[in-house]
Amino acid sequence: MSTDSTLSRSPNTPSEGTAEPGGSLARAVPQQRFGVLRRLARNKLAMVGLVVIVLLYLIAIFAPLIARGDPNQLTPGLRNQPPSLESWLGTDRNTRDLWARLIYGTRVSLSVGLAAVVIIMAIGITLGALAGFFGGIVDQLVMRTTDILLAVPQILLLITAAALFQPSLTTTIVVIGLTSWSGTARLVRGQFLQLKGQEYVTAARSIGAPSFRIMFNHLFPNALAVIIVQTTLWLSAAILLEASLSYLGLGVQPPQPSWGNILQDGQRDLISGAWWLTLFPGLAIFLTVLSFNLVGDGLRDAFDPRARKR
Amino acid sequence: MTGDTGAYLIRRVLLIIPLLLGLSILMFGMTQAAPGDPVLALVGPQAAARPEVVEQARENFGLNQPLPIQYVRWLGNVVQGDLGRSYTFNNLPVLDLITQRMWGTIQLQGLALIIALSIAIPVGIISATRQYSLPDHLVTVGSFIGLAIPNFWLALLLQIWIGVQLGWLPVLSTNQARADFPERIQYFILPVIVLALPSIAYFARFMRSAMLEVINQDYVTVARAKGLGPRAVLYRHALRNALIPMVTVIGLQLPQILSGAVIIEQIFAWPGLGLLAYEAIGRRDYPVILGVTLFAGAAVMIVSVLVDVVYVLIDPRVKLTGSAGG
Repeated sequence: MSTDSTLSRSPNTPSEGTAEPGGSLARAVPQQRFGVLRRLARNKLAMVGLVVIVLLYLIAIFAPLIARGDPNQLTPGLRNQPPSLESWLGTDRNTRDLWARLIYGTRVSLSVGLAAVVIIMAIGITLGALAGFFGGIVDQLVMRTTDILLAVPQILLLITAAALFQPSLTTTIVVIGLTSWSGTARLVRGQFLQLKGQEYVTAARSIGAPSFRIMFNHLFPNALAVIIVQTTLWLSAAILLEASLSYLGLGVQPPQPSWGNILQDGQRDLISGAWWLTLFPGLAIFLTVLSFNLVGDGLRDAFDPRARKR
Repeated sequence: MTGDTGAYLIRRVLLIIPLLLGLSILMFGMTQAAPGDPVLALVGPQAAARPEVVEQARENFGLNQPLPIQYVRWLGNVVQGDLGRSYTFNNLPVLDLITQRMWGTIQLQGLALIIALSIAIPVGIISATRQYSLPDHLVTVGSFIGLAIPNFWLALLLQIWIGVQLGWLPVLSTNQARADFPERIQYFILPVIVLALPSIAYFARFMRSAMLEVINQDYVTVARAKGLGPRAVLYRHALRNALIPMVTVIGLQLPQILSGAVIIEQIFAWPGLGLLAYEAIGRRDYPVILGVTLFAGAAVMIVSVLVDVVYVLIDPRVKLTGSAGG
């Protein structure tokens, strides 16, 4: 079986069961790949989520065009102004425009999420793959490390690390990345463990394929469904963690705007009636997390349609 | 309980020891690798300017020793049940601080958990038994919303709306421990709502899928086929089996629950473990940070073993023989 033909097959679905009757396996597989997309496209909630995510990334990319000004621009006299035609979402205590800060904050929050997820996936997939494939001492070491990380409340680890190593954008990305990979590592390990007993792996081994090639060419593509779903769900989780950390003052540091630190800064004026400074950044976080969750959930159902039907 | 299961559980319990050791090394290493001198925070800004005072404090707290010695000495005390003394909380023993603050967290989180489950389980059942009906769709959409709302944001909005604008409930909980029973309830309401909401969403979704899985099992079809009424099928056969996986999920939620405690206790000034941890981190009070983290880690590990025990007790089909924790 070539690498390509297994690319989008759900690891839990035996190929015989889903291949079109009469069609050869080689022909059935590309159809399956579109099958995933088609099933996803039929999921209305997931589609709404996808549209919002695309819009958010467009906003992040084209922030300077959309923001209508500098996020750190001070306008004397315009302190804590409510939303108006000039300042769509109002201004903050420092007379900065909230719309501009939120738009640039989109850039920061989405980038932190993306960068953290790259770290999470790199560590999670590598360690999970090694543990599942080699077993033994490697497996023990990886699994016990995940046991430790999963036993500590993550926020506790995050704020300890962030506070001790000077809060900053980089620290935020690194600490979220280093504390979040356990779940992914366990799932990928499970996949590899389950897959390595399959006949095509034994076949590859018997013709002398090196372990690395077996892992990369044969096992990895089959674990892809799990990995894609994990990536989507962690994008949402990482953005929420960044917001929580920044809200506690231990994440992205002002004046650089992130949704979390805009909220943290704005909540001080909540008592004097400046509700917009709390409401809008929170809505941005909420919508983003919601959209990623909808897509992640939709992807999971699309990859494993049997689970959906039950 | 079979012999295999017993042996497995003993292995699980024994595994807690090396795991806690690993956790303590991780945390100890992290506090030591961090830039900044805890002694300066310890002696306060005035004394920090006087080197001889700083050196004296360093010696008093054993901070002039090499790291491995500091660690071994600390560990030796921990084994004897002594988590050391805090640097900044009036020099109180860490264990006393933890036991003092623990009850605040247990009461708050316990109440939130009970309320969450008593709403989520019926909601999940209704959702599953009427799959694809309007209520089911509402539950699905509602649980997505519940899981996506940032808890600190919800807390702030409730504080300002119900606490300040309507003036119905206190915004901060600083005085809750001193209040008497009927008045004390009002301090619980807002934090419990904030903590319960995501749990309701999560548990309801899980209950729904656990229930759907059970409903389609053969023994439920058999029960139905032999003429049992829908209610009897639901409650005598389906529900009991659907609740079994719930036990595991509730146990696994403990780290999330404790994570929530850190943020929510800080917002409501709720005197619990989460607030203690947050304050200790801000003050670089290493013994307290280490103590709380170790305590939380131990609690999570013990609960996860207990969950396994409960699982075996309530489901006679389960035999645990796999490698511990793997």
